[in-house]
Amino acid sequence: MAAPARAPAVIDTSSLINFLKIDQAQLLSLHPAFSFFVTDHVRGEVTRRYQVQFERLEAALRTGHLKETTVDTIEELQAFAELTALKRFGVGECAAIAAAFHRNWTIALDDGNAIKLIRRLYPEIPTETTPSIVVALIRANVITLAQADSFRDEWAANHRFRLPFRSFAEIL
Amino acid sequence: MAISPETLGRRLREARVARGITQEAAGEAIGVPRTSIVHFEAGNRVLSTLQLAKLAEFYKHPIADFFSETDTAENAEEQVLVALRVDPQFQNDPQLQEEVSRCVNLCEEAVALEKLIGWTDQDTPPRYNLSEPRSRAEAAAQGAQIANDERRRLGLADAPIHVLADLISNQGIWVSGAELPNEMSGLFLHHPSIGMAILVNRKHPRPRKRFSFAHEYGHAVMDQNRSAIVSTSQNARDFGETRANAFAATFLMPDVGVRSFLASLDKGSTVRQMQVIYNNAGRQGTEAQTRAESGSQKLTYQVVASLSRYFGVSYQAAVYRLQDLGWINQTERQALLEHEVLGNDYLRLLQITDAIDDGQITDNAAGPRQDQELMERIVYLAIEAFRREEISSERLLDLADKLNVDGPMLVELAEAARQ
Repeated sequence: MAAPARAPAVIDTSSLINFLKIDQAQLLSLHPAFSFFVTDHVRGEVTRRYQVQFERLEAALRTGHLKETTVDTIEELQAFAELTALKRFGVGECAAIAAAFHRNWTIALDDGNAIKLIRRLYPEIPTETTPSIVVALIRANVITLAQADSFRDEWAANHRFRLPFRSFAEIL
Repeated sequence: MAISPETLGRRLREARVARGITQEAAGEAIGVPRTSIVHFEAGNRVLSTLQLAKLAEFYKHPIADFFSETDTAENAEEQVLVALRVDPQFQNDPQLQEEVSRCVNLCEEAVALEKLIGWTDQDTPPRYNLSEPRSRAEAAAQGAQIANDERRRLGLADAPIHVLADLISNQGIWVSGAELPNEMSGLFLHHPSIGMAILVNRKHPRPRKRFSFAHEYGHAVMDQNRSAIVSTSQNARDFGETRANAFAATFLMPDVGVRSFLASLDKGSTVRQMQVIYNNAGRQGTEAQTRAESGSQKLTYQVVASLSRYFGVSYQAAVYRLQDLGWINQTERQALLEHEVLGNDYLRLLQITDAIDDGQITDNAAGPRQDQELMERIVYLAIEAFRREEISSERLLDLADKLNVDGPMLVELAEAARQ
């Protein structure tokens, strides 16, 4: 029996960069529920701001672990323009939100303020975060709890990304 | 309702043409062939968010304005530039236009942050309604009068103003240094979407910059009906400029303050002084005349240098102010101006080099950055907006790019402010 089709999700820089920093972008392709897309805008941001991670992103796109998408319908452009006028989000975030809104996609991001703002302004857009993605990977037996906790430790120790729990076991 | 691709295409073309950019150059700037620009502008093909953002940046045109419901979107940057184009020098200087655009854009960012955190009732300077001066003398009198009123309103008494840029900024006016042509000392800008902004030539020595700040502040309180004023050496004798110069001189060096300072140096009293002492017992006055030592009251270059240092103005500005207040006559003014080099050497000897305006243009490489005040203000507002959960950390990173400050550090500081 064929595996159920996975729903598309657009992943923003704040979540994407976490997986790139620990060189685990391939895990995103093994998510049981979502197929992750990177907008050309987010790709541009990673190019500009994260030199090492950019090469990893390019590799993930080449191998098909991630797919690139361009946000380019007139309705999406209009939503993008309106979002930039709010001056609350980064430009890359605006592109990702516009895509999620018009395509009924999920958006993955880890910026607490951005998540709260999206929930306030666009409550219909479902959101995922790095912890929720990792939990889904554990539940799908893609990674073990011990692996997940080692990621957590590496993020906290080396990448200034601190999760508010001691082990993923607490949120499983 | 979404606009049509044809409308978007037309607006893209208009924005490009308004900047005098060719389709070739536009394509090059965003990494597509010229034919793609042709298709975008004809509405045959819709561009991506990334291409749109890049074009908007290249055309200095807000992204949202391409999608506004009407064709007459409010664009502060463009409107200010249009107002400035009446100045021929401005019209022919693309670098200057670029610099003004950059500063106006930063002001817009600051205003947006203020709105997000609910700072909508900022102080603004009063507006003095003055008649158009009919002579240079009347212009000078108006400027001096308003400067005294402003000093009183601000509670400055007769003391020197030490941090002038902060004082002006606290009046709700954006202030910034800017890369301006040497003969241009400053600009005053006024637009509903940014309020008032003052840009001064960052390369001018500190005393001259202070005078420019005061001069442009004079425009802010006396010429609020104008949307843009350029202050250059060419228009210095216009009545409006004379008025702003008189404002600056009085604002920086108030009459009583100058008198007190001169008195502290044992200068400024008349050579003969008659004292009348009341005799309570005899119920009458007794006259006594004192006579200062010959030459003791002469105002020399070192008095002028000390005065310029005390009030933070140039040697020349101090000399003219002394004549304006009647302490010296025209001949003495000329003699003192000829001694400017001595005055500057005197300050060098005292190692007070930042008080010297010897006409040299500096690049201030080691000093604070040109837009220090504006940058500080925006960073403060951005951290505050983030702390109040009004903007995301990616927005902080975008702002950091515009301000050319360390983005991750800004995010870290903003996160710390929330704890």
